[in-house]
Amino acid sequence: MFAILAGCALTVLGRSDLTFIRNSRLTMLDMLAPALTSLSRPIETFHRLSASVSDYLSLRSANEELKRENALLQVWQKTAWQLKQENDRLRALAHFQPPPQATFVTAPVIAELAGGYTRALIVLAGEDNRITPNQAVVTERGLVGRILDVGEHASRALLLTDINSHLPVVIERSKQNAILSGTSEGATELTLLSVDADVRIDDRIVTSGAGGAIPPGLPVGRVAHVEGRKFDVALYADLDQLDYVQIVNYGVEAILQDLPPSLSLRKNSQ
Amino acid sequence: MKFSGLTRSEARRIALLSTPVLISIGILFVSILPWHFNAMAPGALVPILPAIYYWVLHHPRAMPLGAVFLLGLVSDVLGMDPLGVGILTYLAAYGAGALLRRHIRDGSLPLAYAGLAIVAVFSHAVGWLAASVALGRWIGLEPALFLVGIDLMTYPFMAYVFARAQRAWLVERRA
Repeated sequence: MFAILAGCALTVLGRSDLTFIRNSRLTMLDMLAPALTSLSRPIETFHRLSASVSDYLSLRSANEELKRENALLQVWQKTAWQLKQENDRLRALAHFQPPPQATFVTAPVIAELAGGYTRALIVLAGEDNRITPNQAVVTERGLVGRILDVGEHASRALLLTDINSHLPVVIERSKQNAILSGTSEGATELTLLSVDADVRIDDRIVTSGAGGAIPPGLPVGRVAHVEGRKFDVALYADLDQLDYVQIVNYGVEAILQDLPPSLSLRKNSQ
Repeated sequence: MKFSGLTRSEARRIALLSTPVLISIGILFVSILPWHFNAMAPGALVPILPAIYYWVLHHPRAMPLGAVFLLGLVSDVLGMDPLGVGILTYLAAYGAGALLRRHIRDGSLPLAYAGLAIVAVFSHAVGWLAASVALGRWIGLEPALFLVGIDLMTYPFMAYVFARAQRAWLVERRA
């Protein structure tokens, strides 16, 4: 009976996000990080080997696909170059102040926490690497989630598919704001859209930057299925193949790095 | 021979008794390694409940209530579920398994399997309720159903491994 009461009490206390609960989670994270790193290495090697075998088997078709893609990209490169020139001229005319450049930390994924109701990752980067909560976690394809807890050497990242994940996004075509929420099925959908929202299949979804922690314009996914007022989103990032992720610092740290040396607080404090 | 106040045979007995709990904690850690099982959403292969059920059925002293609480706590603190959900799920499995023990302990494998189905449905219903309380809203039943499926799928393998371990253990004790 005592055990059941203790379990119920922890369930209720867990909602309050108490410091000692958070601290015990972080302590456990740091204690386990070295063991998880060592144990995940052979698995990573296995994944890499199987990927190499798969790549080798599809060499011919991949080569043809790359040739086609290369021809297309060359056309786009010319267009991009012309647009960049034009953009630079317009920015100079308008005295445009560019946003701060983001800094990245690349970290290996050492654990996948997929219980029944949580979908998160443990990555091998923590306070030592200047990781802070709420920083964006991305791959080369798009956003994956955000940092939730930061230990000394490891951090816990909440995936976009977690039921607790709610991200401010914008539909690129119609410029309408929405919230991308994780579902209990481990998928993502758009919520809090206005009644007359204009959403179509294949619409690109990017971060809106609202809240400040996650930069605007990060690619998230595309609208994959529309059924009445339910809009399912397919993420660009492949959450099943996360070996390494990048953690984006777009906050105060990045702004401080962009300041001229005479104004840099970090330099003054050293 | 004595060390730390324990005879060698006592130390061996304690080691053997704690093996199921240690194996279960081992399974928990191995299951969170990046196997890329996320495609099996929602949830991953964390077959702790079949382990609890097996030991409660066949050797309750090897899986005491305190150990079940510890397994739930480790699982929750690791961040696999909202705090308390793992504890209540595993305690429910322990309680339901203990209630059914008398009826199915010496029965056939299909009977044990049917018992697991009852235990898994009950425990994950408790877990689902606890998760809804912890998250502050009613959540879909899909994760709970998926976890029941995982438990039923992994039980034959787990039972086979544990039965072998238990047999080796009995041989050791007789020797």
